[in-house]
Amino acid sequence: MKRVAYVVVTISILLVVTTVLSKISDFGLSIHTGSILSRIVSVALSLISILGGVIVVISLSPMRGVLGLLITILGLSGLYIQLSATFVSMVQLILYAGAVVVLFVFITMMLRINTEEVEFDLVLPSRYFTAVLFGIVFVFIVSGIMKFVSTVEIKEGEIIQSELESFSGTPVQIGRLLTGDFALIFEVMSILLLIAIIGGASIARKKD
Amino acid sequence: MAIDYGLYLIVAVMLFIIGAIGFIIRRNLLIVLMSLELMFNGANLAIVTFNKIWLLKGSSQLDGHIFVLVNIATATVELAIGLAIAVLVYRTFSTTKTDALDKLKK
Repeated sequence: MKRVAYVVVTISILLVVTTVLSKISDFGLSIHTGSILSRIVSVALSLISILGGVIVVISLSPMRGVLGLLITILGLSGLYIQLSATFVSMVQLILYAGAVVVLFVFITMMLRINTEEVEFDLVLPSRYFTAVLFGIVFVFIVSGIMKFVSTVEIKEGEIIQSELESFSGTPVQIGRLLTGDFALIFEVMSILLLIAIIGGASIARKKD
Repeated sequence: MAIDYGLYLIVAVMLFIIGAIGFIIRRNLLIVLMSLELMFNGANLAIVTFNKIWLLKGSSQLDGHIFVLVNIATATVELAIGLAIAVLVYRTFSTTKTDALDKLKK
């Protein structure tokens, strides 16, 4: 019975995803200057990242959820390269796939969760209600995006053509910004990380 | 290079909504934290997309990328503290279900 619910939820979510993606071609905010191949790549990366998110939510064991999170992170890293944000893409790979996922795997293995404790949580009707509620919220946000797309349409003449071809978020530019205009934010980030180290150590410490 | 902004914005919203649904309906503390990470990732994708639109319209500023970097650092910090709390919960209650956390003490 739980397996049936699992499969039904997966299929319905994937159907919604495919329907939405097939409507995408109606959107004004898409610029095609190259081959169909890069469009296929971006759609595939989008599908991969959404599929990873779905795996996170419906997975029975946390370890599978971690692997779903890894899929999402890799797909998003590719999408950042498509958006010419190279440094953000590399930070995404190093920090998320390298640090966050490893930390999750570490904790999941350490906690040794019982198998009878792992169950599919979607059996309660109130949780279906929550999912439907969030689906309605999703429809509202998508309609807002469509309104935004229709108002902020970029005309072909307005586009800086060199920007369309170049990679803008290079490490040089980001480094100049981080040590120039945003130096204070950079320092505050370091203090935040220090507080996290001290706080994490003091929370997880054995008290005796 | 084809750039589908509508597609990217929809993907960002879908990741956020999937994360929000997972945050509400799941009872495993680790899955809840993963859903939180999904929501962070959706927000980051939306920010980078809007920054690219801004760049195409003639601006040369990269504030959105800095914003995303700060966001990633904040997510990592939140995760470190959250997983420490998860370890503490497991040590106290011998489970990671959030249903066990309806009292402040054991």
